[in-house]
Amino acid sequence: MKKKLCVFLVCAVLSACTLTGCGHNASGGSEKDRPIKIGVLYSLSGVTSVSEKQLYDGTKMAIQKINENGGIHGRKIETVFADYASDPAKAADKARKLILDEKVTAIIGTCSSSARKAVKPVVESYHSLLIYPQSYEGQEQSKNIIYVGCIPNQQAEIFVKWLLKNVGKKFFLIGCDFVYPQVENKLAKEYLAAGGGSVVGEEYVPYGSTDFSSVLNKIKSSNPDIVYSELTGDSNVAFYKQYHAYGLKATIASLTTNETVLKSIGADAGKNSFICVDYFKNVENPINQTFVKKYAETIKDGTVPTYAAMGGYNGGLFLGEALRKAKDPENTQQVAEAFRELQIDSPSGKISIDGKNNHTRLYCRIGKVDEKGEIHVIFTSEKPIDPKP
Amino acid sequence: MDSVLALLLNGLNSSALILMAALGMVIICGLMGVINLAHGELIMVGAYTAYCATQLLGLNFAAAMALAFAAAALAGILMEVLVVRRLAGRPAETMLATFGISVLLQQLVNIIFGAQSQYVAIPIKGNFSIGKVVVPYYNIFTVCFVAAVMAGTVLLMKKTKFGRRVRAITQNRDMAECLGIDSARVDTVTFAFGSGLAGLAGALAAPVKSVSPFMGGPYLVNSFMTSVVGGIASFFGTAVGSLMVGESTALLGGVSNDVTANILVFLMIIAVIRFKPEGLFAKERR
Repeated sequence: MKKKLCVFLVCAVLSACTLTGCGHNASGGSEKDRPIKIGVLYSLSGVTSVSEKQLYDGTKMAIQKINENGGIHGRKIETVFADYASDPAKAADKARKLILDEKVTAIIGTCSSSARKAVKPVVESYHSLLIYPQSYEGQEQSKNIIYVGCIPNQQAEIFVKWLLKNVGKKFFLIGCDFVYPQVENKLAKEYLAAGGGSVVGEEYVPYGSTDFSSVLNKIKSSNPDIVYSELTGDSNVAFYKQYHAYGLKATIASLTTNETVLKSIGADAGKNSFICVDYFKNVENPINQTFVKKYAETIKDGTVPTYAAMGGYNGGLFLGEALRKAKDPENTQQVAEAFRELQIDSPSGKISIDGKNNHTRLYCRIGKVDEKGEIHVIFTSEKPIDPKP
Repeated sequence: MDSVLALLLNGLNSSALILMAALGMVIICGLMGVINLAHGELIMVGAYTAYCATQLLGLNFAAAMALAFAAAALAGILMEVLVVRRLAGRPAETMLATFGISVLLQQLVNIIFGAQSQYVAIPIKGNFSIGKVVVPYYNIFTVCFVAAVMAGTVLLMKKTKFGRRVRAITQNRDMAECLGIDSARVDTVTFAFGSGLAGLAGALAAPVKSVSPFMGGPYLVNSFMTSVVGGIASFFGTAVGSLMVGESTALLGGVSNDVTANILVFLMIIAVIRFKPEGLFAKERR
């Protein structure tokens, strides 16, 4: 009897909780003030979480800025966050839930190419929209994805030309073993062939591997001028540290390193290396100076804005503009069309979306790391470069 | 010839790090029979302690290593007393519980420190060259340190009263208890010691690898593989196992590439287990 009473009470409490939970969806407010739902899909755990936290911080700041400045014609943007824990299969699953259950207008998110490629068929089959904020290897287009990060013709092509002119001709290519470094290295070989450089070695390490002893030996014996790297995450950090411990002399040129990585490896290991991306914290213009200050006030975890944070931020700003431009900001189709030739004043410059291929015209910047671990911007392209995916 | 020497020397360094991580596994899994899936996270705790000690408290590296041992041992004591002891004799539940602890530790560190990799200064800078072979001084330190720890652990287990008690409990717990050995207390100290060794491994790896919340996974896999190949309860076997794994990975990596090397080394391990399931140097059990 007592046991049955307990069971009944537990069931009663659980049903009460569920019913009150359901009640939230029926909250009041007129149609005009109803917030616009946007999905935010990043990993805050797992191997890619370092980069994704930066993307997430940038996106968060952009949405906050939009909401503080009056939202979308008075309506606030409400973000629905989903964490896919660095697992591409989970990313697809969470994207589906965001589109079907939460009925978001668009999703900002994903980081690695594997995750994006898993989410691509989901947004395409459900006619939704993904804003992809990270730089990647190009060679992809979709009506349902807006690519806000830089691609090889805006990054690698210019970088290789610059390195050939200013540093040396013999390249050793290195990356983790997945699609992004493999495609980048393939393209690097083409650019080198066209520019009179040569490839003295090409190595891929298992994703997440932190043991570079055999690779470092190969680098030593092939004697390159430049070590051209697309290593990411823990592998990237371990590589710089071990490279420095082995006292190798060739210049490291990276497509992926950023201010956070430099802090992890210490000033000695990063000294005199080069990085090519579309944004550095030390970019000098008034909008960026305000942004860096606001970042320090909002994101209080001791990090500084990197190109990943800028990607997340630009993605959020573009989305805000598109939502404002569209007649019905909850109509994904109209919002997608509103992205065409959209221009924003970003801390990384005046950038715009190329309507032909849904990619972004971005500045290309090359930075050199000094002995204190700070990045000096030593090259900026004259104007934003048209993307050619 | 130069490059083969270089590969062998670097392989020795990898083997040393693998052995350091696996020593704790031998004690906890081999001697105590506990499958601890939070082993990688104990290594991570040691690495973060080294980071806090050197960067936040400004201590030298030796102090950092001692603190790393202590911090991981403390984590081990908490784990053993609160969770592992209550699941004695139930391996599936122990695995599940320790897996849960590993996730807990990862997320705790992620929340407190953030996901970015933390900087730990390398205590011994510089390298020397023999011909075309470059050997960083820190690598030599690593190998010597691990050899010393291994020797110390073996001495502890073979020559001290505590070691005798641990071995008695491993051979026959009931009989040991009949003879007056407080098996519960010995268990806790043993688990703490194994965890402390894992912490030392983390501190040792911190200056040359990446210190991040999710760094533990590969160490767990490597430790298990190495100790299973060598004989789960045998220190000597695990040393041989780690040499096998470290050197083969280095040599094969030098000849082809790291990805292929990984595949071949795993195949080699599977082959060894297939023909000698107890490992290469298995201890006789009654």
